[in-house]
Amino acid sequence: MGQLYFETVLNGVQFGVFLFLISAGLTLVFGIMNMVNLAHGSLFMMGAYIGSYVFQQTDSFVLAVVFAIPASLVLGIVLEYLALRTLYARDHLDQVLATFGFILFFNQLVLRVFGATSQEFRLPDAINFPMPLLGFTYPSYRLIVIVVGLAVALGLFLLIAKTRMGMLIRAGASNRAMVGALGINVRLLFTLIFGLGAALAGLAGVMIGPIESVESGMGENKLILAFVVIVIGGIGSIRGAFIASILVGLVEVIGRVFMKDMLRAFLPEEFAQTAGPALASMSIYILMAAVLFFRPQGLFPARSG
Amino acid sequence: MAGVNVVRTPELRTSFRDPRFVLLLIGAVLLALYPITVIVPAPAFLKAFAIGGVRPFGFISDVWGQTYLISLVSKMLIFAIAVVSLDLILGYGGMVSFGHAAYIGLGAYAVAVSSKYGIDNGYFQLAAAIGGSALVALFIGAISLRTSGVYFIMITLAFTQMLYYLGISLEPFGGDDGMNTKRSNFSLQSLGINFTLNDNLFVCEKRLDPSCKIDDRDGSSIYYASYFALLAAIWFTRKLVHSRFGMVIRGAMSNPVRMQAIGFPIYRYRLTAFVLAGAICGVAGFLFANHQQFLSPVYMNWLRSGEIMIMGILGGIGTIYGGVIGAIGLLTIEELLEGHVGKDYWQMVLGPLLVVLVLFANRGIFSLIPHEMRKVPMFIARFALVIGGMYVFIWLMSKNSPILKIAGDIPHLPLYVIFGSMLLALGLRYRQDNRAGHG
Repeated sequence: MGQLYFETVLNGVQFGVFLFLISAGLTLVFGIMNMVNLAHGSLFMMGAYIGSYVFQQTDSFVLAVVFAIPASLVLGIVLEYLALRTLYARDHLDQVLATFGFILFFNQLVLRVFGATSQEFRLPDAINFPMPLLGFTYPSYRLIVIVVGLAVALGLFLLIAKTRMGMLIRAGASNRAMVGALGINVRLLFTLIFGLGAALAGLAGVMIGPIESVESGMGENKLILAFVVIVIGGIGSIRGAFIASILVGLVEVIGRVFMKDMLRAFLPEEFAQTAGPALASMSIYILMAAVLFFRPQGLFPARSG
Repeated sequence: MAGVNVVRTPELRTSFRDPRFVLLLIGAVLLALYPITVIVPAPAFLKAFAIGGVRPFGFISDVWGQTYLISLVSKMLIFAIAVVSLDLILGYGGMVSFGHAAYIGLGAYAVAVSSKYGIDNGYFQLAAAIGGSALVALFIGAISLRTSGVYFIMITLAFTQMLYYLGISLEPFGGDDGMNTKRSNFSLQSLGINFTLNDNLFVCEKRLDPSCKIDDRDGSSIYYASYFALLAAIWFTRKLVHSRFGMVIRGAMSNPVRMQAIGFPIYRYRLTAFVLAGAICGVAGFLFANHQQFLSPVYMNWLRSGEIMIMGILGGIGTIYGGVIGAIGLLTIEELLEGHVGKDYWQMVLGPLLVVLVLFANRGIFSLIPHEMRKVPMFIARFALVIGGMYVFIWLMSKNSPILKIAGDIPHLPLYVIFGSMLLALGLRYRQDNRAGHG
């Protein structure tokens, strides 16, 4: 039983860290450019597809990761340059509509190019084995995901807090017009941030590809979860996104595994059978509604107003 | 609500001086008369056109007597109701609800759940659909309206996802797979009328009349039920937004602080509008379940919410009628693309089409039509240009496109066309940027 608890909690952390990779880019784009980017899930999907394609060609997981990240970076920058930068000044409705169009496009594109079956993307045995850890065992690849995610989180913290670009990002979040007036090329800055977000989404895609199936439309559920994360964490806040990701990951995974048993303790058996899975999949949305009810700006609002 | 400043088209006047009004009137009459085409055989002159292949008259004979089109247009009308209700809160209240599909689902569940327990009384089901949607909208609105801007979009989305997952896990009502439902029965037994939405309004029996094409699936009664429900929804919404109540929510959209300072409790006004919109959309859900004779949690999926919102934006937000145009327009484009471009490509064409429409016609298709009668030639020209352009685009993308004939048998033509135009757009954008930089 201890093994189950241990594994579930770590799976929750792993899922949370993975969510952080997606939501970090989303929260930056959202908070700094005030842009609702539904196409972020498609960038995640493209990362996974590119990774799986490279894997099928070369049979090397490392090459897949190495290729997928710059490819999603370029894809994100092209997307931003082509269409999205026109939308920053528009209201959210236009942004939702245009990026929704991109979702349709990318979903159909991968169906067309790669076919409807889910893509083959296996892990090499060298990095995927049950690993002894603190007296229990845990799949080593999931541990790698956790470590990579934490490293990215640390890197982002350092980038935002210590570097000149991070300073500009923070300044851009609080007053875009003033940063531009001070002679900073805001458009270039936005393009770079967008590219960074796209690269992180691509990384998330190529990391999660071997664990889950790589198929058309895989980005949408993750996108909604990422939105939940950044709304709980406070839009534009990397720190908020990190804490909210872990929270959402834990609630989601633990709820899925233990909700039925928890309900069984004080509810009749057949009711628990039905209500358990329902409540488990609703739990993060309940969490989000509760957070917004008490703190309408999220847990760590990056800016006021 | 912060962050929303919709560029509005000038308000439509109910006078014959406004060409848009004339157009809508013509459209309404055509829609009302359309089901007649399935009982009256096509006139001889139309058949002659069809044989001669004369366009555009050949088009009329194409749509004459197609029973599946009745079903398709019914679906358009039902979605139009949903879009009109969304426009009430989105276009006039500034509340960007990304969860409007929830009420379609709730209306559908009201039909399915009550018919599963043996109640197929239409009045009860309709009341349950309206009441249920209103109650849930009250709950969702009461929490969501405390937030604003992006948070509002996201919290409405989250609530709809909650309902979606709830629907998936409700095994007694089909769960993930959905379940078949019976159509509602609107009987007045005391008056000797026994009529379900299954019946046809026209006395037309296949046994007696071999030219009769109507069968149960394409009942014209569901068509007319949707048609009149849509008219009622438009009438009600239009009255509402021009009433004192409507002025308050519109005022709260443009300047909430001032409205509050004047002394209006805008939260309560907004909540009322939110509940009313939910209730109207519940009617759409009720009709949709009757139309499909099927219930599925997918009705509440967020993609459906997005689709409703897209219809609204395409038609023009804050116009009410725009919603109808958007619903009919988007579903028509979908149908045309699916038919002409093929199942494999149509979304790939629709996606970039949406992006282009947003970038260049951001006030909706409705806004392309001027509202002054003296500009009638202009109006006809623009209208023809929009429709014609759309048709040419679909034609160029289609399987019998002239490009394909010239270029030979290229297997993935739309793919290349799209990537080519992307490259072109990149080049144009680069040139434009450089010019702006030097100028």
